[in-house]
Amino acid sequence: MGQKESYIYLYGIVPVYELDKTPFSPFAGIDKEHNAAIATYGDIAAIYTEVDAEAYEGEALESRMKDDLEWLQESAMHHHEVLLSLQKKYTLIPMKFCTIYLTQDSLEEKLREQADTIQSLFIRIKGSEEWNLKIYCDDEPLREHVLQHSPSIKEKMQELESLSPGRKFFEKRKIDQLVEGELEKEKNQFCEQIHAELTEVASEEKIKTAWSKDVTGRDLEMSWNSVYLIQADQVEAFLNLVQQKNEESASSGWKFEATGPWPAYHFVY
Amino acid sequence: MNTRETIDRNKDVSLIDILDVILDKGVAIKGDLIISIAGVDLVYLDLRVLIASVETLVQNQSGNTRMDMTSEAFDKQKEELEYGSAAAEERANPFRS
Repeated sequence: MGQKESYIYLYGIVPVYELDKTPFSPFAGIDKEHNAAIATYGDIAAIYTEVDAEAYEGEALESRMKDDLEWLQESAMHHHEVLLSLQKKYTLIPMKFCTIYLTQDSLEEKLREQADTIQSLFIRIKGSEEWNLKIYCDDEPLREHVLQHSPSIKEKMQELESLSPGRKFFEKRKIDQLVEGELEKEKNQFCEQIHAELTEVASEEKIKTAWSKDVTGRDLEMSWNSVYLIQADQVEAFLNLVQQKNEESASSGWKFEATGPWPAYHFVY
Repeated sequence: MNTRETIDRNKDVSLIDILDVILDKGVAIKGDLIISIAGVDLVYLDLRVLIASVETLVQNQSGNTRMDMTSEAFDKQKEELEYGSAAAEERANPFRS
């Protein structure tokens, strides 16, 4: 290491008193050269690792994020895995990927300045878990359902029969659009209903953007994406409800996926 | 066995899930922070699409083996990434404020 200048890469912060119960055990840091360590400032403990300043300076880092996919993947996984394991032991406020401070002093100054906010975040997330729910949908069974059960669409389909071939073509397209609209409405209503029921079990919730197939690379369309902060003793009930809803609706083309517990990424603002 | 144990919690967690949260969520206490999060976000938008294809590769690998892309596949993705970043840059949002 010698004369090399280093920066402080911050993983997350935890309450000091929890370290008495579960002592911190060091692990290899993001650059594999330095070990992670802990620094305490009052009631707050920061878990960090030193990183080589040259490699983690703004421009160098920016270009690595763009050009070195393998590095990004490996480092992102490392960051996440560290937070996952810390979260199992402590009430953890997770930091974003590559949250880096110039010096320990600047980190300390920031933590002291934000001490009140940090304390209230600890209270907010203590004893809770973050879970993510994604709902996927196979449109076909639902589209069929809409065709069969919407009175207005049924009526229009019947009217088609009496039209000339030209008119028929255009009217059919209009009906198709109508069906698509109805389908979207049905899907939203379904997901919102599920979300409302799950929210009753959770202490907090956030609705996220559903990803396109380009992002998921799946055959099924993602219709819903949301996160929940759930008291540990409610997690079982939450997952049971997800499973029950999934079973009830599987035959209509729905597929539920719950993942967790995540570090409370979405609930630490 | 309870529901909790029957759900394989890691099965469906993908790289894109992770990037989605660690680049976008979590706290960054702004101060003497050298990295502009805006800069990260800039790359991030286009990464999403790219990561999906990487993801497929990763999933095809068995178990815990490290991702081992063919150089061809890697070059292709790098190309896409560069293309994506260039597009992102056009939307501006300067890295340094």
